[in-house]
Amino acid sequence: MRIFGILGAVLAVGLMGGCLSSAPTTVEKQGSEYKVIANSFLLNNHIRVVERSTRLVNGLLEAQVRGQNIKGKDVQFEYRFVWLDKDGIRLNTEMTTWKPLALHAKEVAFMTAIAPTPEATDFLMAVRFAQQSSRW
Amino acid sequence: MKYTVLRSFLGVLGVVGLAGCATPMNTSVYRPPDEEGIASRGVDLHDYQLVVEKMVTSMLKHGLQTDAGKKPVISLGPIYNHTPYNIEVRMIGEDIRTEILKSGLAKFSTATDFAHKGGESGDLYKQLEFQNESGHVDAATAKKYGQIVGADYVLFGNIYSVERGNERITEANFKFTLTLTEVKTGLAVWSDTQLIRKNIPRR
Repeated sequence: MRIFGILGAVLAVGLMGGCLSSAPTTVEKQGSEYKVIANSFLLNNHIRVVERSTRLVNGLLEAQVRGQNIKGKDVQFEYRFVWLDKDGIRLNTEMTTWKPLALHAKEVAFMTAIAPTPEATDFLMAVRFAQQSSRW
Repeated sequence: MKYTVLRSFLGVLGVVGLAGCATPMNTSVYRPPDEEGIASRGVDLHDYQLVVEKMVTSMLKHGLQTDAGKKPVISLGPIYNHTPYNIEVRMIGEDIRTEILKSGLAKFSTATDFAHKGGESGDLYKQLEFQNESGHVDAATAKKYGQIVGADYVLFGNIYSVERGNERITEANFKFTLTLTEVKTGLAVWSDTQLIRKNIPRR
């Protein structure tokens, strides 16, 4: 009798954990600081976003985010940058495609991009699993 | 009896939970265009976007030399498709042009196709002919021949493919190479490549 209760609880927690994994991990500005928002418990256990750097190149914002596959096996991710103007409004550009990123075990990745226009002063970066079946 | 109730409860919980976890995006008619499409052995829209983003990013980072603050003028040259697939090469060039124009890095000349008189270039010449020779346009406002700006650079490209496979899977490899050549000197001032590899299961 008691074992069914425990099983029920484990199943419920497991399913909730699974559902929580649908959202990507993002790097975004909160106030004056950049925060890594891990929306997915599962994804957060696969990739760790650790460092963010920016600089100006030809008057355009260049961004780099460093991440690491913290698992002991190869995993395929996708990432993209979304560009924002000084008022935080998303810029209309095609340069926000989800790009594939295959990482070996414990490998460090440098996700880089350059702003498509000088109006871009800020960005959001998101990472997610490459396989749709892993994004439930 | 109690076990039956518990089993039913767990079953319902499982079904509801799984239903809640289903990805609704797969069922929608309109799919986000920046997402990967239905797996295809050829080049799909997402592949075009990957190529365009890589090339534009590389070109913006490289920058282009300007004469005394003048923006350089680029002309879209041919992108040769050496693959057995139908690839919309013009779309790649046009998307690159759109993004470079938005960036403000350079201007683009569309007067490139005088001999064939086709496409947007041909329409431009037809408009010039209409303004200068039809007699319908006020001469004071007609744009005269010989004022088209000469391009400083031409963008050329090549696309190659190599395909391999076994009984289970086909591996399609595409290589896109674009080069920007200075018209005055004939020197290539920028070039980059984008590789795309797709593994497509055989049915």
